[in-house]
Amino acid sequence: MKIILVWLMLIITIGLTACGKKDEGDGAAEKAEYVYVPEFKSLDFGDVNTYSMIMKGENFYFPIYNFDEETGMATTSFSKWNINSESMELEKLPISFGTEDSQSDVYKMTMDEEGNVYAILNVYPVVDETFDYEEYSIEYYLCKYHPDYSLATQVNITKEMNKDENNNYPQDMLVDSQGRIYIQCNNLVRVFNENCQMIAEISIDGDWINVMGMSKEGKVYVGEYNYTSDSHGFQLLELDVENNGIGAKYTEGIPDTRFMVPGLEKGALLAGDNSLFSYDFATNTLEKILDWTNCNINGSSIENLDLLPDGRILVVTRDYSTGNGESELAILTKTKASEVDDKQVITVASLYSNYELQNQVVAFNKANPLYQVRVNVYIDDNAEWTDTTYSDAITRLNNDLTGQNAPDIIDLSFQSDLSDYASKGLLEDLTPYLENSASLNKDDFLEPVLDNFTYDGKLVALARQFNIRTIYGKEKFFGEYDGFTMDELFEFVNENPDKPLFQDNSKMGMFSRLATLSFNEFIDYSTGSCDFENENFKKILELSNTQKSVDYQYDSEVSLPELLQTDQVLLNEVYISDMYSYIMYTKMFEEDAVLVGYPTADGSKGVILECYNPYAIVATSKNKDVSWKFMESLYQYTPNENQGYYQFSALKAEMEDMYKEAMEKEYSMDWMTGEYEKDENGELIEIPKTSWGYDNWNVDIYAATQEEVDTVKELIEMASPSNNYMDEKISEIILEEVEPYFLGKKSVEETMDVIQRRVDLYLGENY
Amino acid sequence: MKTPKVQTKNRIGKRLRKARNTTRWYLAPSVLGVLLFFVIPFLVVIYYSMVDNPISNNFVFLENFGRILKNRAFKRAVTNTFSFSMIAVPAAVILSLLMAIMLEVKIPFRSQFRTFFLSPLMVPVASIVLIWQVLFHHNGVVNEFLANFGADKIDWLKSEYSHVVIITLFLWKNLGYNMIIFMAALASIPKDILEVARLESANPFQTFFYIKIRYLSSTILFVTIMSLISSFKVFREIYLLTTDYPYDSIYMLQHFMNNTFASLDYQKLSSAAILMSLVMVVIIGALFLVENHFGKDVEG
Repeated sequence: MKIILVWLMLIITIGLTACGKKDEGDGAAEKAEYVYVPEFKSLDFGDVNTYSMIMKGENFYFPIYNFDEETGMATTSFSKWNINSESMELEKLPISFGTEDSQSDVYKMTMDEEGNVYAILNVYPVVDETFDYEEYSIEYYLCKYHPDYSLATQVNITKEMNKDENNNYPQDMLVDSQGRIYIQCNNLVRVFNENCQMIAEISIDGDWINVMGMSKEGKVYVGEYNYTSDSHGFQLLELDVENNGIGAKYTEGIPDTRFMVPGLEKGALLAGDNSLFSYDFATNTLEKILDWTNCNINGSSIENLDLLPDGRILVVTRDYSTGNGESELAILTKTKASEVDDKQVITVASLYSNYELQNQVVAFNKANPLYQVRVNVYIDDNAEWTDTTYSDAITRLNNDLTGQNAPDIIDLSFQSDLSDYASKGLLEDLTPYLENSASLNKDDFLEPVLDNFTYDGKLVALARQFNIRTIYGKEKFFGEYDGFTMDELFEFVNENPDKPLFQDNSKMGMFSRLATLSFNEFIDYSTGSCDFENENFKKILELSNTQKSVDYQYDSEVSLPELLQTDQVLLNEVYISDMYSYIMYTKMFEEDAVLVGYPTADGSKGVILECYNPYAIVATSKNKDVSWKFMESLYQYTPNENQGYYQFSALKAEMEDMYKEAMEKEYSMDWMTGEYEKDENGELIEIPKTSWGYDNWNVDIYAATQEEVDTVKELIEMASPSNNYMDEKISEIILEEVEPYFLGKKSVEETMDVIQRRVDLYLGENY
Repeated sequence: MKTPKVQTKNRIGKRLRKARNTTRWYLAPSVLGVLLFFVIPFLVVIYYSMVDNPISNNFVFLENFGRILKNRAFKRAVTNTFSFSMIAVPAAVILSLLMAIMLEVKIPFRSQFRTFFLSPLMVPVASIVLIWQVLFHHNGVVNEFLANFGADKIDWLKSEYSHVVIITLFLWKNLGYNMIIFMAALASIPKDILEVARLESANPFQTFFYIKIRYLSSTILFVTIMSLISSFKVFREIYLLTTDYPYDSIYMLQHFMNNTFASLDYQKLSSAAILMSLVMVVIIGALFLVENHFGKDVEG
């Protein structure tokens, strides 16, 4: 007996002290009985759009939009492709959409089990020189074609579609086993019989329908977010055509669904952004079939989905992150897990699901068949948001980080200040990895970005993108200042009492801006002490209190550019993310603008560098080398002519290409001859590269000058890392305490006293 | 003749062994539960108190205890917690005893009063916090009431008055429970002894101090320990009222532990917890000694 008890205790002790080998250290994949193995095929058919395609068994059908430049006519043709075909040639089918004297394009198409094709056509008149625009109208036609593609019925349904102007855009269509055609609009489904005559119009409570699909049993359902009940979840509603209304409702445990197709034997397959489920309507049971990332698919990129009779799942995806939006077909085959090679599993912890990360993971997994990167999301997209959702997720993440369930890589987007994690040795120093990397080098990165993630000499994270936050003003007002100390700013405000500094004119806004870079003046992190009872802090509070309202109040009648141009507002807080946004912000004053910067203790111009999506390797990871391999893949740069530069990059090479692209002039071209046009002096005529707008103000943006590029480079060099300017918790305490003062409930001394006491506690705890 | 005796002894021994084995099986779930939820977690806490942090887990022996004893926030939390307990616990014991004595007298609406005093126990903490916020908000009922007498508005929860608010809240929440326990204890004092005292011309004060208090000593000890434990738990209400970094006079030990848990400083949290439990052991031990001293001559 004693021996049994001793053994029991020992087992429990080992289990609870988490010394057991819970997760396989070598990262072996968790074994399920079956897995889905993907096979990928490119769907690059040139200009063919996969958005309106029909998937029917192993055949895909594409409506192809054609524009004849000679006749100015737009027509649509119809082609077929088989998934087993080696070639990318499409077989053109003898189907003719629309009428001869009009133009048409296809809104939506579908096909029934017998091979009849159904299409909603958008028919509009041919516009030529003699055309009277008052007669311009768009008409909707519902067409049915026989399996031999000859026209069976064509009915003008414009009247039916336009009955409700909020529901006249067809978003989806399908045909049930009885030949009834369902056309889904915003929050309405119109049902037509096999002769294309409308027989029902079913309205759905709620904002909009997210999905329409059919079950294996032949019933048609729509899915929507349910905001009306207490559960706030996704729900599926059966369409009851006979009674022109909604039949059964399925509200419990339904995942967010973007696609719904009939199941193999019963029910339906429900596809969301992260997973694919099967749902049995008879027993209300939901079963997860797969996670998209485990099949190397980014769930957010799915554009079409179908299930073959042999159980294979066909998924069409489009990668929106590439310039052209490349489409791809994934054929998922159910395979015994024992027949699939083991992969080394790397986990990435992320608080929220992240489209870009999923893309990177999918790309890495495809390129590295020996490894499987998985993303653990701590706040599910479907989760109902409560006061504790965020803190609970952080606690779960922290527990994992300190326990045996630690991820290999962590997405630190949620944490602006990494000092807490870094000081506890939670994050791996990436310097040795960079030094030994064949494809990356420390010198590849901009120094201010590396500074942002360097703690006690250790580089604990890397980020790809950043932006710059600072303040700009007109030269005539601020040209003589080389930055602002707090005293200089007070002096300036006293001299210009009738001129608001910022558009929002609010106390909280002013306080945030004044304090952004000056808080550290009141805190000594080395001793863990603070002094919020000094005169400078009092001045910040008092100056902020001179503003009009407590919180931001937006006057929609006058735009910010107009306020700046007419000197009604003197300063603009800017978020510069690329060359074009820099040019726009400086042109917004329509006079010479200068960098003013946030006020700082030493009077230098305060510029802040904010990084996006930083990633770090967790120090306790057992797969550090593979984790680094994945990290490396996040920071590879391949110049691409078609790629735009929409965000400052941490990579020097990418930034140089951004500058180069921004400086390339564009000239007016005669499109008929293909030659550049010249002015009366024989010079090429420069045209704007793009046009940017803010409120109702627009500006044409021409190629950047060398001076502008140099200024941006200077801005980046002088920027302070965002983690230097404020501890999140201290900021939270201070902002909470200043509000009663701004509301007139407390004196400035009382406010300073409470801030001092609370911040002192926080600092005392940590130092 | 001896053989049957040996056989009987053997039979009794077997029965005893069997009974012991059965007892062990009955005890096993409780032992397991205590091990699972108390002993083993406490061992884990001891482990964490002796490593530098939960990531690198380097053994530092007692270094964390040395550090924490120098930590400003910890010292502040200890001072506040003990000053709160020193005021709140005696007040909770004395006031509830007085209330129990008052309700022992046959006054009208006795039962209604009892229910009234017990009602705070039935209110969820979240609701209590809401009520307290309504009362002690800057524009709350208390300030509005005081304004009628020309008093300035007070920020009750973010000033030195916060201590008063929290003690009041603690007493409001706990008096009813303590009172019921005292009422039960008072009812169980042997009536014949009280009758004898009355016949011997003892006045009510003498009866109270020389008889009732002696019979109540074990109840007083129990109520004191329970109130002491409750006083440590007042963090829950303070946290809901004023978040994780309150005004410094109501920053308690559990704030320190909660915040160090959130910032992954498990070593600080564990050392603080061990120190706190040691102090609790000493206090409760002292209370037992006192109870033994005063209650040793009481029957039963």
